[in-house]
Amino acid sequence: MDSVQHTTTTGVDNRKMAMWIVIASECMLFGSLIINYIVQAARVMKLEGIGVIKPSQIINVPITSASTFVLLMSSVAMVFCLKGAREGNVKSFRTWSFLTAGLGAIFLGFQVYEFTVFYLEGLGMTTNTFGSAFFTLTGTHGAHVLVGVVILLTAGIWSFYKPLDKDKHSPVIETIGLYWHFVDVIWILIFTLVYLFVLAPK
Amino acid sequence: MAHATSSDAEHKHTAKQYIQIAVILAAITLFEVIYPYATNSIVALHGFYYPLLGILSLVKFFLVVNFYMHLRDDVLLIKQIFFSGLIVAVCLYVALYFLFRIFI
Amino acid sequence: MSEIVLSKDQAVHGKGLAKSYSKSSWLSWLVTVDHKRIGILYFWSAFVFLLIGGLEALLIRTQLFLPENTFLVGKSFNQMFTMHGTTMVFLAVMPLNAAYFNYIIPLQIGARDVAFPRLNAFTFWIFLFGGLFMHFSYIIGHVPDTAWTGYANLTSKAYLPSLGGDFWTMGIQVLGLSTLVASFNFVVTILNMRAPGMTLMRMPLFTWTSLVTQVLIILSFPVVSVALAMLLLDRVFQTNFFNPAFGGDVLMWQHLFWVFGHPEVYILALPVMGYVSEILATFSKKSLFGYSVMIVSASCIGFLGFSVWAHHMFTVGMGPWANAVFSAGTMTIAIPTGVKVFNWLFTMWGGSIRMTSAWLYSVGFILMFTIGGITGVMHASPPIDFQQHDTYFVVGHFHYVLIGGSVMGLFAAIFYWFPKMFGRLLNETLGKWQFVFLFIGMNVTFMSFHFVGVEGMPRRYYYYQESDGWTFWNQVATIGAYIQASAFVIFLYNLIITFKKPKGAEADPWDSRTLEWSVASVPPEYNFYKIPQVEAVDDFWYKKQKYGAKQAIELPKGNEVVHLPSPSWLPFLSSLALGLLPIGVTCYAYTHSYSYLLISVVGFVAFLLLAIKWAFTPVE
Repeated sequence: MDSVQHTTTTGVDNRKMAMWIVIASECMLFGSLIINYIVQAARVMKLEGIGVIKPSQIINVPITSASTFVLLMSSVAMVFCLKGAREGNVKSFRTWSFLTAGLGAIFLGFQVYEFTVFYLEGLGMTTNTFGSAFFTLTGTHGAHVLVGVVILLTAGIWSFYKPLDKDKHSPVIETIGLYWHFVDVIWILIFTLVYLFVLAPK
Repeated sequence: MAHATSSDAEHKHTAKQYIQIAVILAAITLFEVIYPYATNSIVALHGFYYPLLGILSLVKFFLVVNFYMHLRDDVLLIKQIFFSGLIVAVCLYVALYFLFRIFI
Repeated sequence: MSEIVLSKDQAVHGKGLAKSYSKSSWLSWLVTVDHKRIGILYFWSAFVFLLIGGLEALLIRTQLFLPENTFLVGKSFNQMFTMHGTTMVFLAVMPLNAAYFNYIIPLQIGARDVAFPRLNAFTFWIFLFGGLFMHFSYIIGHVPDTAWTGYANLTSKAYLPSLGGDFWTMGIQVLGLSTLVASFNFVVTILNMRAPGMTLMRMPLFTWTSLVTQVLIILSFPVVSVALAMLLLDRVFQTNFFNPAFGGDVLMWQHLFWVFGHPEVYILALPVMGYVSEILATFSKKSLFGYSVMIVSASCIGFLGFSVWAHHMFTVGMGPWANAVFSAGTMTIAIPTGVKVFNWLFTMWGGSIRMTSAWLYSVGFILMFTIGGITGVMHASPPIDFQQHDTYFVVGHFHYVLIGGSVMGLFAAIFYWFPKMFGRLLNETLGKWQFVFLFIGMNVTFMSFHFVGVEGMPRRYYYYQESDGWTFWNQVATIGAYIQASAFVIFLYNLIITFKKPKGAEADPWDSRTLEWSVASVPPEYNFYKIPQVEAVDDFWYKKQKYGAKQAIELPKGNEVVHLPSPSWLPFLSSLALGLLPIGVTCYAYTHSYSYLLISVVGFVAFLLLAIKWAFTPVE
């Protein structure tokens, strides 16, 4: 990935600036999804009736804590991946990028497991609005993780074929890092709002 | 015109510092997970549940944003870009929260 | 890199997938990444959609000419106003503004192109796909009929069973993607690619209002994307986001749509305010009055625009506190807007006025936008709005700001920048006649709307009775619509005779103030022979005064090698690939056969592969 221009008016790399702008935009995307979830979940909490699946009945905090921890550690791996790229250390860059992608994939594995369990317990996308909102929110987040995993794997595999130029490629890796960290940060919020708040004492 | 190199600011942090932050993040997460189970029976703490967990998640949020995304060391413009998105999103959240009368 | 020698225009040779097509070949348009060509592509596509939207309006007005008319009734009428609104907002005004963002911004900031040229081309192709996708609904007879606001759950599968709902939902989703991605491009371009000496406070006002517009886009489009995604899931995959019977909330649609929808109208208006600011300064031979105040006002309008969305929802029952808050915010926006109006007036005051068509349209804009703004402030009061909501009064209001505002401003821009873009000047006499017809027609139609609105005529009704007493003003309005149509006919005639003339406009036909006028009309592919060193706001004007008009205009001198982005097939092909996603989902929605979703999967995988190829193909 390259940009025609190498000096910029503000001193910030074009791609890095673009990614921060994307992040600002994604704040609004996830903000809307999150408030929509909160509205629907709050609504379902107030419903009475047999067979109504509420968040408190189905959300499994211990399992999700494990996946949260995995995603958090993937962020740490991403930091070291960028460090490797900045130092021009191909092996370090490659290893850490695969590790980050791997941890992201494990997180996705947990998500798939969780979705399957929920589905088998009777909560699907169309069961009630809590289900729709939950799967849409976490599904959108998961899609973002998937895109990140693909990008990181591509970057890691690419390093086998082309030499790593620390000055030319560090901004790109930094941009990828920004995306990955942001995806992690959104999950931090989702974990608290969707999972931990369910355990609130009545 | 300024040269668009990776800002020297990011080099301020060492591997050790990143690991320290990772440990803090892990510790906070562990605390967050144990807290509800441990304190469910302590009625006096019930009112603190939402604010405490909310604040802890914000601490983690800003640790990652400031240190892993290097926002702390970056130019003002980047901070402006990020916070404009974040603040409008938070305001939207709060506005809809009250408009839909979600008073849990 | 494409290396070109700056002595005359040559075919650009690129590497990779794009062969070198000569400039005159139509294939060169498919692979272009030149912001000027992309601007022209946006211009003509949007213009065609503008005409289509206009025809839809004429059909609506013809039906409403007579009470109990049978010309266009029921669902067909509803389809007409739905497509009219959607087309005008998303396919006409926004892309016409985009044409000017593309063409003019890099020239005004002294850059050779935008920050991400291939991404720029991609946004055009995906916009064109979105527009064609949505209009395909006409071809198969499944046209959406739920208004451009698509309120849930009228748009649910139960109440809108035809595929029209899916075409509409996915069409706007795709168009939103185009606009959003373009906004990333423009913000980075404006912030990062300015010529040396071009500080933010020396940028032309159009570039400034465009910057504010892009920020609005960045923050508002994701919200409507979420709403549209939820609607699509409801329609195609039987979720119940907006189905009250199963716990869904129709109000969530309204909130999410209007959180987008209100900034959207400022997205339609702010660039136009930019055009008018520059045009008035040029044709008053005076610098814009209160440059920094204008920038602050534009930013305030943008910022406040996010806090007023629920003024579209005063009648849904949010309660007096919510209504009061949004009412106060809405009234407050009138302040920076009013400041701008006064600044435009003071720009002209004491200036040496040249009454060109562009100037006429700009003055028309000020008058009409002010009237529209006044009725807007009336709506801002909830008790008054309870009377006016869903009546023709609202329709009158927004057509004053959209036609009197955006369209007139766009015509001002068209007449002003036509020589720069196409190398010829539009006929001024015809332009003035066109203005007269448009101005008169517009006021006749939309002032009448205010009268019937106050008398209670509801909007979006195909039918009224003689006993309602609305017949007279409806007939007047329809006559006005046809007068407006004749303005467009005059414009089409103007275009035809103008394109028959050879190119030959001088670089600076209007004696203007900003950098785009310092290069030839039509600018060479590389824009500037030498990137200018900017010394002041309205730099071109400053240089003309300091060094003389001849010196200030750029002339190519010797051989200098400049690097330009190469043409590429990737943007066009990626748009085709991405376009398969909504096609697959539509086929699935029609047949409920999962195998059609494979089309979407294939499209997605193709897009992914093209994206990877894109990432590893250097832009030079």
